[in-house]
Amino acid sequence: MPYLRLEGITKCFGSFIANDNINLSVESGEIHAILGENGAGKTTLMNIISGLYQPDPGKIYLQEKLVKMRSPSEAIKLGIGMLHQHFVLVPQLTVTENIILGTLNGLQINLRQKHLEIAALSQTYGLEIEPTARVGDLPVGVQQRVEILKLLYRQAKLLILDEPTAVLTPREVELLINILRQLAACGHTIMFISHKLQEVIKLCDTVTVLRRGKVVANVSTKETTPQQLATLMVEREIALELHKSPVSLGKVVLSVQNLHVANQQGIVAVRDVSFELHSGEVLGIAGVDGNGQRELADAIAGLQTINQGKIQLNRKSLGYIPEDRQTIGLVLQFSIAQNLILKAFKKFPFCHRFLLQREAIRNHAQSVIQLFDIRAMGADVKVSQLSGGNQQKVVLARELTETPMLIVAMQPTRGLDVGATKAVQQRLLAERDRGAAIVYISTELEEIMAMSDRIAVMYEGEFVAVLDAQRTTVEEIGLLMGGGKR
Amino acid sequence: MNMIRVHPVVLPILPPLIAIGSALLVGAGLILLAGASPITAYTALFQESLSTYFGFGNTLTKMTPLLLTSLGVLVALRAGQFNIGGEGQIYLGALGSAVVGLYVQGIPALIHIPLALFAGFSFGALWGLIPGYLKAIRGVNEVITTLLLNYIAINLVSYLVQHPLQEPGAPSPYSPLIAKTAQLPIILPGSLAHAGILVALVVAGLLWVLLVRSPLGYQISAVGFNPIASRYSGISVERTIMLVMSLAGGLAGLAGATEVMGLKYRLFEVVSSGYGFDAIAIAFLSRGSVLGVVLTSLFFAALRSGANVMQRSAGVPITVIYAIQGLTMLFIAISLTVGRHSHLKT
Repeated sequence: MPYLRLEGITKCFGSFIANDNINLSVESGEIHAILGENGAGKTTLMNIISGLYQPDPGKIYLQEKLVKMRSPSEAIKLGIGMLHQHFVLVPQLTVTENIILGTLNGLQINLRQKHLEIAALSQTYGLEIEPTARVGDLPVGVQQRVEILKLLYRQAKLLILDEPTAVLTPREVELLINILRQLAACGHTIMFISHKLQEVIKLCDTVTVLRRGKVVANVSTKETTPQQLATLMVEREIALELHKSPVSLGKVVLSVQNLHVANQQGIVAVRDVSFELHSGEVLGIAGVDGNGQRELADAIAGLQTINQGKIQLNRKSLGYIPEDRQTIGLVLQFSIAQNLILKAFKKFPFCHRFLLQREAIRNHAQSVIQLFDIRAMGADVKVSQLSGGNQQKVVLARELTETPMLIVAMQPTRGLDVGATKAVQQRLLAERDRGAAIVYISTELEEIMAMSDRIAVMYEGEFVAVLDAQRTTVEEIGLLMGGGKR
Repeated sequence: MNMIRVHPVVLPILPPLIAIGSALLVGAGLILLAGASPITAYTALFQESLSTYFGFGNTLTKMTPLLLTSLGVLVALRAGQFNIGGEGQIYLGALGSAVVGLYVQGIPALIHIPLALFAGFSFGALWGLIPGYLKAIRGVNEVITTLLLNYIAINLVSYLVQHPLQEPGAPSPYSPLIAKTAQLPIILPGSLAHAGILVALVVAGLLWVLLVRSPLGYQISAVGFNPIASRYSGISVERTIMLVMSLAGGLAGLAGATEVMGLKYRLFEVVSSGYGFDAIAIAFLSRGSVLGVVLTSLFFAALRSGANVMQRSAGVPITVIYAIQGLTMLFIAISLTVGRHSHLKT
């Protein structure tokens, strides 16, 4: 008898179908992987199982009994607990206090007894933990164990883990895998969301592959290979036809040698990356989110200190399209015209005799709005009122009007619809034909394939491979992105 | 729930109007409780402070430090910084101008007045730079540092007027008179109104140009709205914060200077009766608008200057005025959320 069975789960957000008629069953004591690319609908599905969303149509059976959950607290009463990617812990409190938080009703609390309870619970599952330690002092891997204990303390039988290894070091991953095996042996059922192929095969019994909100495969890990999973995960159809002229290489515009960069937490995010980029060339950087792409891009743009190595470029001739247009690329409260001068507001003609020249700023905005086909009522419209595609065009316009020789584009089409995506990509390819060198960072494989002349695959901060875009395949890159060897 | 639809043009001035209106309304209730007629009391209050010669002069006198200090809070607010240190910066500015007024002698007023004003500005600016530096470079919350620096400034001035700066033989702690050449002229003869208000209004005009028309003002707004995007565009967020906090301190320092040079002619132990704290309310109430700050400081000054007359002619205790001021600040919070909700709706 399956522990959990989903029948015809569908979830729409507006006209977007996040989950499309999903059928799935998970046996008791099984470790079941849900595999898929970004946006495949994994997290939506898990949020439905954990009670955060309600399916539009669709039924959830728990031990063959139909259940309806209207909130995560109802789900936890039924024994379903979700471990989120971002921890929900109070750093100032101890392990025990965090675990019992929200479970007490009375006015009294016997902390010493609770400490003992937690210690006993953690020993049962081989989770080494000090109940009296302050959570803020613990390393990430141990904090994660606190989260797991929180679920176990609340009697969760079905544990859902949303990309639990994303924040861990390889050693911590090993420990987590052992813990999860132990839990499964004790009769807990585990759903493990990931896009790392190796881990899935190593840890899980069965794997369900999602693509565009649909189940495309449901196989035992013993009967599959990373190769096959990569093929299943990635879309075969070509999403967009892009016209791309043959590459004509110019002189070297960007040279990166043995670059090491640490992120804000002090963890090494970029390891020993070296490459050269020529004028007229697009280097695509493929990789799962959070493998050092942002730190690399920021380091090239001079926004992040370099720990080791060298970057050579002319920063005066650099266009940077940052990852998140709303929080990094634009000042949302400013108008289109104001945003367009963000990098040049001190220069003539926008500033003259110590004052901003409204006329010049307006004229500039109006010509740019035409040139980049920004759909808006006028130059004075606030960018917060524009659609995502038009916001991105404002960023592009600002970064490209000075015809930079190097363009760093980080996820420039994220969240855009098909038309806007195509507009952004064609604009960038036009810059390439003009002779600009482009670093194109994306987690979408098809996009990387369509845009790049060369493709570097980034995994855990390293370039694990640099491939010729003409000769490689989506499957090969997908495999490398998941940490697979060539 | 139905939301009231608000015309976009009315939106920016709506919250202060709601706050002031509600405060006056609740204040009317308090006046009734005190056994007086609200209409008589309010008539006395605003007639005295706005339409009599002496009373209006008094209002202008009180408006001067309120306006200058509020402009300081406003500038910081435009860059997303909360300057709670106006009070201390006033004390430092008063000290700076008093030092120049006391120890520099024998130069014409045409030089002495600007010099003393500049000293007040500089002392305040340095006092503002401390929290600015701590915030920008060390990441220390400016609310706490500016607040605590108030007490240091107040006690510093208190010490100085009791010891090195005290007039010999004076019955209470205050400094000797500053030089005649450092005193600001009276602009409405027979009243207290001095040229400080002209200084304040000119500064307000200059500040409007700076904030709205100059590249620096653009930079300040950009940092205030989105420091990350500003940093990515090559703006130095740290330098902007330090500059803005110095400017804020300098403006409050000017307020202290005009108090010494235009009203008291000495450095007293108590320089400001809470102008620095009223300024926070005024700046928040005006939501980043220079014109709003001018009008709101006039309103607060009128409340202050009419209060005594209201007490005398309508028999309403002066504490009602404090209650109205307090209520106005309380309603700011409410009015701001009203603004935010209707903003979300549009």
